[in-house]
Amino acid sequence: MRPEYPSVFAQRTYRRLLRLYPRWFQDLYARQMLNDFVELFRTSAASRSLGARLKCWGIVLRDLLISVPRERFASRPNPPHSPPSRRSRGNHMASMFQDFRYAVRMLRQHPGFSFMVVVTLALGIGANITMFSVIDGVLFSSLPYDDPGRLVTVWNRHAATGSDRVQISGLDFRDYRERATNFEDFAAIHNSINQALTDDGPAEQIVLGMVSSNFFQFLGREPMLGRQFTPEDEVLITGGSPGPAVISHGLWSRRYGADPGVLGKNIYIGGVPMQVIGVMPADFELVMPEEEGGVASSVVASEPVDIWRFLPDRAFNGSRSLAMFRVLGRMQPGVTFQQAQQEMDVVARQLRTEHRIHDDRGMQIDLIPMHADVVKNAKPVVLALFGAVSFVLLIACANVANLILARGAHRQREFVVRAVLGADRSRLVRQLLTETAVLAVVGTALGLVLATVGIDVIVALAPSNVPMTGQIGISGSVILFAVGITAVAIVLFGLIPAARVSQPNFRAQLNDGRALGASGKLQRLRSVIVVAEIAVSLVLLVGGGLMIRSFRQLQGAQLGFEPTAALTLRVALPHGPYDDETLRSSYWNALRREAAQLPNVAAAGLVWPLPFGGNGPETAYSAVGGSLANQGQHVTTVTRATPGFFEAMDARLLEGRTFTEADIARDAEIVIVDDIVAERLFPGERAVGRTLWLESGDEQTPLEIVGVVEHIRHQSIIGPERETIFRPTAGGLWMALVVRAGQDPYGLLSELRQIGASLDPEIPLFNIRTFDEYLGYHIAPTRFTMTLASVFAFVALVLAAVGLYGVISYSVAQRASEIGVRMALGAHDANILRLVLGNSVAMVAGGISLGLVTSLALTRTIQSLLYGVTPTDPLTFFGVSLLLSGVALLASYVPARRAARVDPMTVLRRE
Amino acid sequence: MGKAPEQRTPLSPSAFHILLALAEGPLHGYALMQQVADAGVKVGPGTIYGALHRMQEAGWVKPAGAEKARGPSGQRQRYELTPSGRSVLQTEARRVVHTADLVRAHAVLGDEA
Repeated sequence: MRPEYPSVFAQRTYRRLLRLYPRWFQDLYARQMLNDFVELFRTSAASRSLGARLKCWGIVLRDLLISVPRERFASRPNPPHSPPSRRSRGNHMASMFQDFRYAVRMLRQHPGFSFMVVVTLALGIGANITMFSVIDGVLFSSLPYDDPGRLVTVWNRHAATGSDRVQISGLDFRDYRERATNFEDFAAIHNSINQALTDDGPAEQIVLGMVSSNFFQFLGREPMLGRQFTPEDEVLITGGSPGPAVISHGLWSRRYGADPGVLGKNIYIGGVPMQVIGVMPADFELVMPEEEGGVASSVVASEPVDIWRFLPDRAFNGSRSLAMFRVLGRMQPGVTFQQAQQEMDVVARQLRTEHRIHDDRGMQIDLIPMHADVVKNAKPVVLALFGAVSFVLLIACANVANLILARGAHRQREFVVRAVLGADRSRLVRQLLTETAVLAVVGTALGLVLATVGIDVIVALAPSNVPMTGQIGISGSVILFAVGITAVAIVLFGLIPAARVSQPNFRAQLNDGRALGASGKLQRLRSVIVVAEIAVSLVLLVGGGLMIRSFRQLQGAQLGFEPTAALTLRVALPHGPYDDETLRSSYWNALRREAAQLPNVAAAGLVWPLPFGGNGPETAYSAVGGSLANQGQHVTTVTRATPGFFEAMDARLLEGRTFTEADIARDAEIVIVDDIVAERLFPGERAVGRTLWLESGDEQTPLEIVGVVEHIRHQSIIGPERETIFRPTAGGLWMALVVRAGQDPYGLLSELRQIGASLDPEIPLFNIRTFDEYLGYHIAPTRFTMTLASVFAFVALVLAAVGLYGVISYSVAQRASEIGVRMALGAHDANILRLVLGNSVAMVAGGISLGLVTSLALTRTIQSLLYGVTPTDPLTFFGVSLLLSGVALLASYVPARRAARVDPMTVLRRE
Repeated sequence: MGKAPEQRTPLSPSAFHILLALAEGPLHGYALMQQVADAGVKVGPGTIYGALHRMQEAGWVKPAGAEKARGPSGQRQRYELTPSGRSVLQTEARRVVHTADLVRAHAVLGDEA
């Protein structure tokens, strides 16, 4: 006997190969297998020929190849004859892998089902990722400045008039810098304006930002090229040198081809010589909160600044009534916001005792953390939309849960076989969860793709009151959110059906061959899901409906003028030659008169500021002259207008007359007021002929009221407005031209440009648009919210209808035999229809009642987004309930109709 | 759990031949392997013991004492059919016979069958 056959080497090799099997398998069978290996070689390869040996190895290797993966990936929760401990983890992994492979196979075998689920989830998850990216970029990303947590915005509040978010005067700004010790510094920013840029290239309209000289240092940002403003610059420009200008990365690339040689270049801005000293990096932008009046006044500031110049010291010397600066403060490290606010309260008290104007107005200083202030208006929009999109995801998950429940019913045989073959309940649950997890992961992946598109769309659609859109993108936290949302989705739509399908009575039901779906409990669960879906859809529809109503209110609002066919454009005269008043007047007079002469033009006039184009400085007015401390004093801004303005606006003259050429010629001391002023100063009386006292500087001027016009809206389309006082003017440096065209206002463009060029070729006409377009800008935020809310509501409606359709179809299919019997016993189509529809009516009614209650509780949160409609608008609530009922009943009518057409004999025979 | 034999069929060829081989009496792994191989289904030790393990879990097969042997382990575990395993085999055998009848009835193989 040759004890060493097969060779020791061969035996050792096989022993090593046996380690490929799972531990438990080795423990149980390795010895026997080795025995058999030896036996195999002894008997089969007794001849010891190479061919026989190779044949034996062939059998062994093939066996390993087949059985190792099988044992590795097979589930062995309880191997007989052996305690399960120690090995359970490896088995768990193996069985998870098996679950996964099985899941992929199942899903590929049911492409329709998988497609439905994946698309539903991708839509829900993609929409959520998109909105989360917006939230993450807009609300959570920090401002692009150094240590932005210490930055606050500073506003004045006038307790006497109730106005807040009032800008700061130059002298007050100086006082803040001198007195407030809790602050490192303050910076002042003037409203950016459009100006003509001229150098050796063609003239271009740019946005000029005017800031205090410490601006860049204050924000902690350096130019990427060149230098920022220094105190020496102040001395230089007093000495007559060209003012230093820092240009944006955008202008540098656009106009100067990113040429570093731009430093030191001499340019003219609005006719004023300047020199480029620095270029800011690409990610630098001035993110400023909106001032009072919301979007209305942000028109100018919302455009990115191209060129920065600093405000010389003397710019801060004006009267304390000239509140024209937006002020930022940087708190000292370690100083709390409360401490900073307390100190500013003290400063405010000092200023009130020192300056009568502040005392009269009851001036307070309000600090707001800058980030909170910047996102203030965007926050409710973004959060409301995120709420809406979360609801869409809920509905999507509900639908997927319903699909899985329905399919679970069809898979009963599969589960029975698996259960009988020893798969325990937890294993079946895991299998279902694995399948849903695979679907969720694929859905999320697709959702991420959709989100990248969605983000682009949102950034493109976003109105300018959504700040920091540049920060929106798919970031790490967005990916994290996507993973989280997927996990939630798996639990939401995977666990419930899995838990249901693996109920103890499940097997009993299967054994008697009954369909799983016939279980009343399961059908009830699906109905509950549908009721919830309808409720959530109703909430979304109410939200969408309220937004649509707001939008329509905005579109149909009474503005006090006729926006259609009115063309507006702006002109900014440069300093220098146009500092001369006669030259200026002759330019403006010629411009408006020649515009009015054009064919197809009914009237033309100049105004500043243009309605919805920002506020001028504040002025106090009163019906009684004398002391400023007068009780009857009010504060508003004054609008300057030329003859032709009211006619061009198509404003409604209520009393008296409009401005005439003679008024300008003799510099008449007259005003036209709107009905708000007239009613406030002379309630119930005729205002024309009365005197209005207007404060200018430290003195008051008596002015005769010559006309009363209906209020011309200038701050917001709907909502509270400040009164307006119009004074005649021959024209300042900046004016807006309003042209009333018969039709086709844009047809006038080339003629207007010709007039402009003939008057002064150096001066461009810009911001040319119709008032309709102009208002569109102010409607844009509402349009944005409305569009998205409606899209979400529509998706919700469709998903809910699909869900309802699915449940009714399924229950009809389950009850086919019952229906067949009923019909055989003489029930009519109508009876069957009623029977089936009765079911849906109950679900729809339940869902709508639940939805109405939820909506009543929730719509209050979007109050700030609504215009001219209450959050509980009965028309909206009623309308969307009707719409939803209609769609839902239609979705159930189709299967009901099918049930009623059933041929009883067919059904009964099938039984 | 309720065991309806028909729900486990059809069996895989190796499972069927293992049950068939055990129908004549207890056998150890290697003998099983040989018998199954003789029936034309080439299987190795891994496949045999894996199948035996699952059949024990299902209650079709049970250990039937050890038999002394030469190899490294010195003894061999034998396996035998349980009543349940026998019923499964019978069901499957009936199916196979029925299938064979069908094949004959359709004269798929001509005169060969």
